[in-house]
Amino acid sequence: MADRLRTDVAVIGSGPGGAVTASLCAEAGYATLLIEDGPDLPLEANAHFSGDEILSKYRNAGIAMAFGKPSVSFVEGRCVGGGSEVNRGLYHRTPAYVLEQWSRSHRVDHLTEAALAPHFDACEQTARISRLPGTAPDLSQRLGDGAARLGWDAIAAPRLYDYGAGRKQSMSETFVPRFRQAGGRLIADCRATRIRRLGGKWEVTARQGRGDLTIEADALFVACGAVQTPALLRRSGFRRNIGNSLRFHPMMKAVALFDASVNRPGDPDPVHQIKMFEPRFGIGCSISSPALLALALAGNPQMRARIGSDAARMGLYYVQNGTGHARVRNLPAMQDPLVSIRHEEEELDQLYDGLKHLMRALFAAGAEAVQPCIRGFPLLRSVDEIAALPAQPWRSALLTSVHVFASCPMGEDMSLCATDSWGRVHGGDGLRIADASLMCGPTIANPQGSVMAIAHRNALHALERRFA
Amino acid sequence: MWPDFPATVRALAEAIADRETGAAGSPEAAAAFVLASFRGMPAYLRPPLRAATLFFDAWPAIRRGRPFHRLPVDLRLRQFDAWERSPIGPARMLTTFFASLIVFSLWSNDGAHG
Repeated sequence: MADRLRTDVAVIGSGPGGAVTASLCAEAGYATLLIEDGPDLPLEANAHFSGDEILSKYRNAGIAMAFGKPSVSFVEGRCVGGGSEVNRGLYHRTPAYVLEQWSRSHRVDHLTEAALAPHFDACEQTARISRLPGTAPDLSQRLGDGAARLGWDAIAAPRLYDYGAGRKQSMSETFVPRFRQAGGRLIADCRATRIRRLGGKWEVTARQGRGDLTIEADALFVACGAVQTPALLRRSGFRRNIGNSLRFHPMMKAVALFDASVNRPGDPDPVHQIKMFEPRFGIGCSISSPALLALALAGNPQMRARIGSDAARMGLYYVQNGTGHARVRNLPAMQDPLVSIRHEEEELDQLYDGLKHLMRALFAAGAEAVQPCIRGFPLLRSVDEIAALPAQPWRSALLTSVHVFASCPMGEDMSLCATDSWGRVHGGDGLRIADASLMCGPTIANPQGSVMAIAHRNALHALERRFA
Repeated sequence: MWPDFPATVRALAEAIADRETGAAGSPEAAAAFVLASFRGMPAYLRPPLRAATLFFDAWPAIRRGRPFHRLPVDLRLRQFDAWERSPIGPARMLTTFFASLIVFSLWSNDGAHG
């Protein structure tokens, strides 16, 4: 016999979308239950970007794949706070041109820069945004210098980070405590397996440890992330435009070997980005620990052999765009869905062009050598050698992504959209989605700010209508 | 003498650690990390990966009379290098999977950078 819980509002998933939504519902006086598939761990439970963190806070131990030509290896958070716990917290509001594009392509109502600004403001009061005080670490500054020498614009991006306290502003540090303070109840290690409408209520069937749990709620928000949300909805019989349009920000990487030390233990995380080529591609810096350098260089032994002696002179950089359109489909008797992806040649060409731009910037910044992180590709000693690279790298390339979104887009275009402009599932009798699934396409930057602001907007809309 | 998945992972970690000059991590910890990752990965990926690994382990049995995990380190590295350069996509994918996780773990005990 399953345990049974009764609540006014249930939110499935405690990432940026779910945590913001649950906080607002609890503060509005509703008995709110937030359930999370993963464990409830403090921010400092593991060293950031360590193997222990990957095993304890990432979904599927950090191993997930969208199968295609090329495939995209991606990661998602699976813990209280979701992706906000494991990302770097680089922060951007959704660019106005992106919102205009979404409004046009998916007919999203009231989604302008001005309309969304109060929601960004409200989220930023709880999850604080700040810029790195003082000078950026050399690894980061070098990208800015290289861009400047080529006449390109670079920025030092703000982060969801409290530099005074030295703590990231993840959900477990911000909205989850706010939710608990408002009287909300959180159950971790609890996996929703199915939802259904029964007698005018929502019923969530979940697994908690070895037992079953049934939750009965008047209102339900699904916020399991852009892969698990469509998987849960499809398993529960909701299929209209669900899981047909998953998107990523696939990345290619390069490692630069500079003429001087740029990468010291204890340096702050790098923040420089080149955004002037978006939406074709965006360029930035990655965490460059020896372990992450080695991972990126797994197929490039010549440069990897230098980590032991030269890690301090090495920096890891990326280029990303929005290539690929993916589908999420459940497999019989399997917990995890299958993700498949197809690419447009033009978008792949733009990404590869972005990699060449990145390498030009690194040589302009004083790199003695640059290694594109593609199996079998040569170590480049000068900018002139970029022209000799293969025209097509896709036989050897494996793309990676840390951003996953747009699997259940919002809007009024019934041929494309899974929900209306406010996250209500079309034909879903008041069922709502509240995570990155709602986005209509790429932002070419960390989408967490967009996810939080859209969740804030949609939660207030739901509360004003008493979840109708 | 039979193909053995955990033993193959341990043998791979020892072989890759041998060529990874300067990495401070232990092959035992790297093998444990790979096995933990394997247990956590999507269930539908585990059977094909296990089968491919066992095939990789059995590969030298005909020519050398023993599986990969019983070969000396230099012969293990020779087989791994050959599979890394193979024109066959799944062979390259298998070596990429193991090399990525093992080198990540081997270099993880080197203090906080960045």
